[in-house]
Amino acid sequence: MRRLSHHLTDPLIRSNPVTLQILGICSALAVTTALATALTMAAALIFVLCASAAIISAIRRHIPHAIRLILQITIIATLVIVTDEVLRAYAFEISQRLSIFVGLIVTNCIVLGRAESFAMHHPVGPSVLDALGNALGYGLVLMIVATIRELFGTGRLLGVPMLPLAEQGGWFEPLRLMQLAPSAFFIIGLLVWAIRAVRPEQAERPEHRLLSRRGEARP
Amino acid sequence: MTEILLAAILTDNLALSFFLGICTFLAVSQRISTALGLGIAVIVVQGVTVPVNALIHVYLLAPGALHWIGLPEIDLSFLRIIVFIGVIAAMVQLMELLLDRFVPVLHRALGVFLPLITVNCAILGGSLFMVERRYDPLEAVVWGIGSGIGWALAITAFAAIRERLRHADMPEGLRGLGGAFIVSGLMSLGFSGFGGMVQ
Amino acid sequence: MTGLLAGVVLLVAVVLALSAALILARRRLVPDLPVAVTVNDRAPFESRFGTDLLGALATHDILLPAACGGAGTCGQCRVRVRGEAIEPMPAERARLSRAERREGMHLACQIRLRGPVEVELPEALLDARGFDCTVLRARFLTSLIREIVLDAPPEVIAAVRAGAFVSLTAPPHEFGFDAIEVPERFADDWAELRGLRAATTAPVTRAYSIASTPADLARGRLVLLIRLALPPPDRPRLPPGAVSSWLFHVSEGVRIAASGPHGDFRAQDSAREMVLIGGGVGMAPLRAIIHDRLGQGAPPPISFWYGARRRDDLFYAEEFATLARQHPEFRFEVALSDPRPGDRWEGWTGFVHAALREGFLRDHPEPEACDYYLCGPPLMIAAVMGVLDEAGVPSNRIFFDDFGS
Repeated sequence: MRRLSHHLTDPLIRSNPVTLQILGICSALAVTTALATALTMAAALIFVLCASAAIISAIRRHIPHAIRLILQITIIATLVIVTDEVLRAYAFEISQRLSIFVGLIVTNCIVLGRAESFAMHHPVGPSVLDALGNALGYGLVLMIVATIRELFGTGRLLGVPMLPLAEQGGWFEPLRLMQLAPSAFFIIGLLVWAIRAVRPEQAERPEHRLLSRRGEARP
Repeated sequence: MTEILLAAILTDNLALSFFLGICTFLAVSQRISTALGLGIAVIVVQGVTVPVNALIHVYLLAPGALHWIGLPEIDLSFLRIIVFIGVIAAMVQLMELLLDRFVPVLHRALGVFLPLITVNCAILGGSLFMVERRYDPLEAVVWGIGSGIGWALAITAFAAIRERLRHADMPEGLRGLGGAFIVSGLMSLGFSGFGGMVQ
Repeated sequence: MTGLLAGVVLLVAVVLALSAALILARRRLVPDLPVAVTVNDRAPFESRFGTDLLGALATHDILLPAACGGAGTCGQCRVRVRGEAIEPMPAERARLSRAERREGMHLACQIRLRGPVEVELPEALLDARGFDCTVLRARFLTSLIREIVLDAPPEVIAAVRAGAFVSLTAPPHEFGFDAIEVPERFADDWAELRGLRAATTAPVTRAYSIASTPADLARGRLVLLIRLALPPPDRPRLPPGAVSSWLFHVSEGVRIAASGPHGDFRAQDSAREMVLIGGGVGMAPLRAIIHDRLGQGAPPPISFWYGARRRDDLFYAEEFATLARQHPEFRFEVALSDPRPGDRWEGWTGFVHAALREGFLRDHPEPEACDYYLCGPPLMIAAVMGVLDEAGVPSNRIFFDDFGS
């Protein structure tokens, strides 16, 4: 079981796909103005990623190499359509706020990336765990960004007032910027910085460095 | 019409306001020339796929669209994601053939990024926005080309900034990815300054 | 029900329409036409529209050297294109100087045939024909390096100059690494490689430097050093090198298709002191050059600096130690970067560039008056270039064979 569980825990922290591999951020940020939409989006992604990993892994021995990408995209697109229709039927209000972004899960790099690089080569069990781990890592980042943006942008969390607003006699003045697009970029940027401060091995090597004439270790 | 165009390029910029195509955006923005090439490819693909998808949507998929073959009660709009992806994939392949034939240098320079346009959220996002905002086919042409120009503008400007930043003395952890996000944030802030131009 | 049916019909119709459009476009844009290729005023031959020039020439027995196999990274398949200028590809900008590009030089692997083309090649290259050779002997030198001795036709042997290379072509093959016979002493190192598989559906060609001494050549033998190209540690899913795996698999008596000799890495005609620096299978051309120079009368002072990780990775060391005893003007130095306690190593410890700096450049009265020959992994070459630059050696005194092994 320990061998299996690292498929789950690795992508959560050590190699989080969003912060480390620049994957899947595309559709992730636009829905982080409120925690509720971010949670729904994360749930949708968890479902699509796990289900697509399970299906693709189950039929991996029967997929002709030449058309594997088309098949993978078709499977993923079908699952996304199902998710979209379910949301529309049972959570209409939230699905309106998610706008086109559930549909864009089709082009999310994580989904296709995990299908192609992991599910195509592993049995169903590990594939689903790997997918779950990746999706949870994605959800974690989404949640952090959404919490910061909703809390400081409106003083609420999930619509429940958390900070006393100035207009109601409290001290908190909502930061309008937090509800606008730039703040998501800033928060992700700072998040990457924080992660790399804790784990310096993730930092990128500079492309250019001033050459020093001395400084290599002697034998 | 001008309003749609201006909105597409500036205020509703796909990359900076809707975070679409950020993956490619961060990966290909190391050099201005490559970024510009990819930007042009996106303009063309976007300018072709959005109108084609608009026609497909209006005449085949939308609720009641099939009344011209006597099936007015059918609603196939749930199929749009899968059909749009198919159209995009075909258009990108067509684009690859055309580039390889007529501009081989650009074809080599764009290399692996061309097929990646297929899974670029900006392209699918452009078509999905077109449906959501109920543009008619003519407006769709303007929106498609405009949003492509907006994306190309953002990626080219971003690549230019990154070329300068390469020599900057940034904190260890911000170098590369982290810094790129901060810069995108600042650009996004700048673009939001156009907000008043379009009602 | 009609809805479901309409949906299925529509999806199929859309997919069919898109596929038809693509097939039509491909037929219009990439027509299957013959294209005439003219080489050096000879009679033109026909090739197909859209193939690359390197491949087109190869099918007509004009085998340009191409160590990278057509990826545009080795810069060896140079041709001059006559007539209208073609815009250079990015790979060509990186490999050809501005003056060369102005003269119409191109890399054959980067040119796609889209119309009749006239190219100029050195006549000597037209003679570098393909030949067949037989494996006479094959043995493991270290756990990942194999020495292969081939017999070659006399006209090929006559054209070999010390430092040259040949291209070997592996036929389509598929086998598991458990089929490779490994000597008992390397069994432990190989335990984890047993699961790998080598497979290719098309012939693959790679270049290997010739390590033959003059005595080997006199007997008609090409000695090659093959390093097994394993997937990089961070991408273990990649397949191992097709040609090197196959060459680890071949046994005595197997016929191999080859072409050559090629290459312009060779000893300069000068009396300057020679310094050779190598690592890994970079040993091969350097060994040929050293034996060649020492065999001629009155050679200049020669020193050979070889870098390895530990004693197990050393080979031919005894041979060079013997040479150094016989020839007072020859000096052989080895640096081990990661010796094991059991190695009881007393020589240089660290990377070879550091040993070169401490043991040669620092005390040499005139390091800029020597010729430097480098052959080894790119990282080693870069580090050695660094210390040579530091010592004030001009770049025209440095010759290297960067084969990226």
